[in-house]
Amino acid sequence: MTHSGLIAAAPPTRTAEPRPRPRPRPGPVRIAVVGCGAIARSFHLPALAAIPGVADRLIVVDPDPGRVAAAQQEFRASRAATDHRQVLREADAAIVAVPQEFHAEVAMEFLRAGVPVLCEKPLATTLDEAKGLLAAADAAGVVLAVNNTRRFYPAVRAAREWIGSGRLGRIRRVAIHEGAAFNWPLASGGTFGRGGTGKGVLQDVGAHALDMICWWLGERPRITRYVDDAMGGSEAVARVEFAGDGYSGVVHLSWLSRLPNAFRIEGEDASVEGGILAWDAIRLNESGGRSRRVRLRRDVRSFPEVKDHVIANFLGAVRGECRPIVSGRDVLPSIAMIEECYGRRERFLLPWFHAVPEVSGVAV
Amino acid sequence: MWPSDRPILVTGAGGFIGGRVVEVLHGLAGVSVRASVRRWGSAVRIGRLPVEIVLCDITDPGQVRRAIEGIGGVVHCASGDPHATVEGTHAVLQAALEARVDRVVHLSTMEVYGDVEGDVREDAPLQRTGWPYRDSKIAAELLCRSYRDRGLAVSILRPTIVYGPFSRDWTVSFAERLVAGGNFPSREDCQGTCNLVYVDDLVAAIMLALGRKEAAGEAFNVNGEERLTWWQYLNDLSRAIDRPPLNGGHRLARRVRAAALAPVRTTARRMLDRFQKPIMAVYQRSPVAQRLMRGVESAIRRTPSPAEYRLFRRNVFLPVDKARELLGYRSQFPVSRGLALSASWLRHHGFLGLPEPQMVAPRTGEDPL
Repeated sequence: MTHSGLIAAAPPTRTAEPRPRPRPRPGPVRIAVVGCGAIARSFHLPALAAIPGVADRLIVVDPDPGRVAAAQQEFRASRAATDHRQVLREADAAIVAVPQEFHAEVAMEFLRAGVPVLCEKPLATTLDEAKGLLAAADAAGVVLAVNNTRRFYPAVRAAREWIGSGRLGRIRRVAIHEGAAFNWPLASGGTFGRGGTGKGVLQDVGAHALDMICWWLGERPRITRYVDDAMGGSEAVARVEFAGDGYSGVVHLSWLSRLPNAFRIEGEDASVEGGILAWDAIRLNESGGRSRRVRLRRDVRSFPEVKDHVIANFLGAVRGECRPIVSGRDVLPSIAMIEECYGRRERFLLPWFHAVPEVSGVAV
Repeated sequence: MWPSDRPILVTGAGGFIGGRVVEVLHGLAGVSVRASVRRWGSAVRIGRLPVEIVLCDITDPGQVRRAIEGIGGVVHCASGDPHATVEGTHAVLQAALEARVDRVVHLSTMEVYGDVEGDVREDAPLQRTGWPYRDSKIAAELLCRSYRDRGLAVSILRPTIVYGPFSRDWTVSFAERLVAGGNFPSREDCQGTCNLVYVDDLVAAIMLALGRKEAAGEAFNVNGEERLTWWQYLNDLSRAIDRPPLNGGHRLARRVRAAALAPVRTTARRMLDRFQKPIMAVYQRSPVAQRLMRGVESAIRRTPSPAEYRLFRRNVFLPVDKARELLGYRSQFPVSRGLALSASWLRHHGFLGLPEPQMVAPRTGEDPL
């Protein structure tokens, strides 16, 4: 089991002690934010707009003229464009926040133009696309980072450190249950229904959860079963069962109901469990029945702080001061898992769905 | 007979009833459907099917006109605050009239009859009481009548307590309270009639109202056909989800607790209405605030409200004779069947503990989709 990732690719601000919020070194960088939907407006743009030398040079891009104008006004961007190709030669770096199915295409154009990219997750929808992006970034010698934010969460990092430290013993079982009634203020509906992508919660939340699994275990487990509830459209509930050398696991995801939003990792000697969004402590259960709360590092104390760390890390990487916390290469295993799942999907049995009423006298 | 070969527009398709109408019409009956949602985020459930989904603010006449282009029938499930309910219905009816839609089915509610008791049939007067939801649904019905007089074939359905998969009010929240220990009014305070109708019975009534010529211009009660008390329903639900029968409890103590929490409930709602953004910002940043707010929310959710006391004591029943005679409606989902389906849905979605993994459709054999 390797121990790279966060520790080897630590941001310059990381220490074991509580530390102030990251302050990126001032210095002009012209960043293009491509796609002005929910994630750009709630995450990237507020973080960028607070950084001197970046805020006054912001470029916003969206094919919807109304949306791009609103983003330009709200975040005082210096330039707005309706086509990202118009800004390929102007931007020092790009953040790709378009709908998922266009991530790879848009990221590729920036990389080929020699522009470093922070791409929203998932980096791509197939392993081949993702490898193509890596090759393009390497050829251009530029950074390709991915916004798999979970690797910044204290509970997720602590779980990895517990596994890496060997104190849990040999890993036997890993489980993540994550779900909530979907309320993301999507600007476009390309995911859903007729003509949609056919890829729902697995590609969305699963891009986080399966990345956590691969990062924790230091490898890509093999999938033993994948089940979801897509019926010609995009799935809203998905279950991935997997196994590796001596262990098995499950990732259960839902866009339709609230699940514990928690993980549990069982080793031969101890287990660790916690909320994915826990900011203060997780629980360690040791053999002999001892159970205790373990306080988490306080360097990221809430979800709104995550964006500052992500942007600080990307800016540092663009300036050559550090490596990206999550690089394109880091997410290849989870992208491969997602692709494999969709290739072998089975459907849940949904008896309530098929209990159709009989209607007589109405020809349908 | 089915009114036309043109597609059916379902408004409010992101909601509990609209979502099931889309599932049954499109997914199971093979009818061409256009599903209208107010925001993309609510398209998750129907987005599992290859159905046409359009974004439409129901209060915007221009958007409604575009959504209704080429449509043969409308199932109008969308409602919201009083403005959205009334103006949305107005926009739908006007657009349907202009587009010469063959049939509009308007989803109203049993609440239009006011706080009456006894058996209530469709010719009972509609009674405003100052409750915005009720009064706005009455206003929407009156609009339907005026458009009927202008030649639009509109049917009004007045469903009762609609339960089943995706019913937040009558299935999920009760199941969650039962799982949490079952804090409900005492047995004596739950002897009112629970007019329970399974969502698929309502969908069957909607299809009949769309398809039968006798439905045009008429209003129909849509109810199940069993007369249960609320106490029976809560206990049947508890049994269906493998929880113990409700404890009859100390009537006065429960009433005192509900009354004591009433001002907390009102204040919390007002605070959230007025200061939602700053409250959520504090919630996101402070674990202490999170614990405090979750505690208050949980206490509110688990304790019966004064409105619930009134509802659980009310003796009213809506017979469905008219729907039976004119439309051939009959309830096909007795409570036992409806609750069994609801319980398997609740289990699948993790409302009763971690989701159950073993429910996988066989790989071979006939696939109904």
